[in-house]
Amino acid sequence: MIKEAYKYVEIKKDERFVFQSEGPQGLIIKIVQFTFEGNDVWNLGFGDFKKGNIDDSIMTNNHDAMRVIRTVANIAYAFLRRHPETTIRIRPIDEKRKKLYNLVFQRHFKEIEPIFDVWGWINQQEETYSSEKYYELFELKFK
Amino acid sequence: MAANTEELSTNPISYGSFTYEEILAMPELSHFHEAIRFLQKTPEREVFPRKFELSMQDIATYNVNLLFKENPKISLNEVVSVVMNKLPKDLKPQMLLNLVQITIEKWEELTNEVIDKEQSELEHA
Repeated sequence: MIKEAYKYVEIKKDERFVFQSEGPQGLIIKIVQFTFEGNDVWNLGFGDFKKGNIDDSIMTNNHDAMRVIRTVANIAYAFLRRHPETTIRIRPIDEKRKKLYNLVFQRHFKEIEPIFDVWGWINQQEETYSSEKYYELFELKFK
Repeated sequence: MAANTEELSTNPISYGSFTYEEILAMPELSHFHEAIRFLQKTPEREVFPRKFELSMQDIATYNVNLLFKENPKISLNEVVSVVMNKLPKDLKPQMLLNLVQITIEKWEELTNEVIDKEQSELEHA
């Protein structure tokens, strides 16, 4: 997971992480935050820090999508290493991200599967992840 | 701080784990300082408010679905009561109101499905 990822800084005790993306759009600060949803579930939030605020609606197009995804994966891994009993919920906020996240899980499921149990949601109903299906939400937990 | 600075230069994945104040005191991490100041003053739920609202809606509808799986004839009062217990206790009133509305709509939708199914079975009997 180290390969081609950005180096991040972690904010102690606050489950927040910050890193910097580099590309044609310039240097863009990215923020990852885990928010407790109850029942040992944490929601993974992710967005750009721009002009003094967070924007989680734009697709940055900094030509480094895989590097950013690897960095977020490293952060998620670090978070779960520290809280092995918890589940991370990854919720796309729009159709573009839903497509992207489904693609990432489909392409990397062979790497993810030996380490994590994965579930997906379809119509707000949870099931064991299958790379042949299209999900609206993903959940990960250490095996 | 010396140990932290050493960690900054050696760990390939992470600069390390620091408090807000520690990061703001590190010139090596000055590119993060504006974001760190923003996070320092912004409550957790206000960093990604849209995502937080969506997640609360998901929790509500997911639990209504779950309750209907266990008991398709469950009452509205019972559904609302269970769902509200699954949500954080300190939500803003407007968000709580929206979530009650979503819970009621989902209960109506699933109840109608159960009634339709029963009618259909009666017609075919």
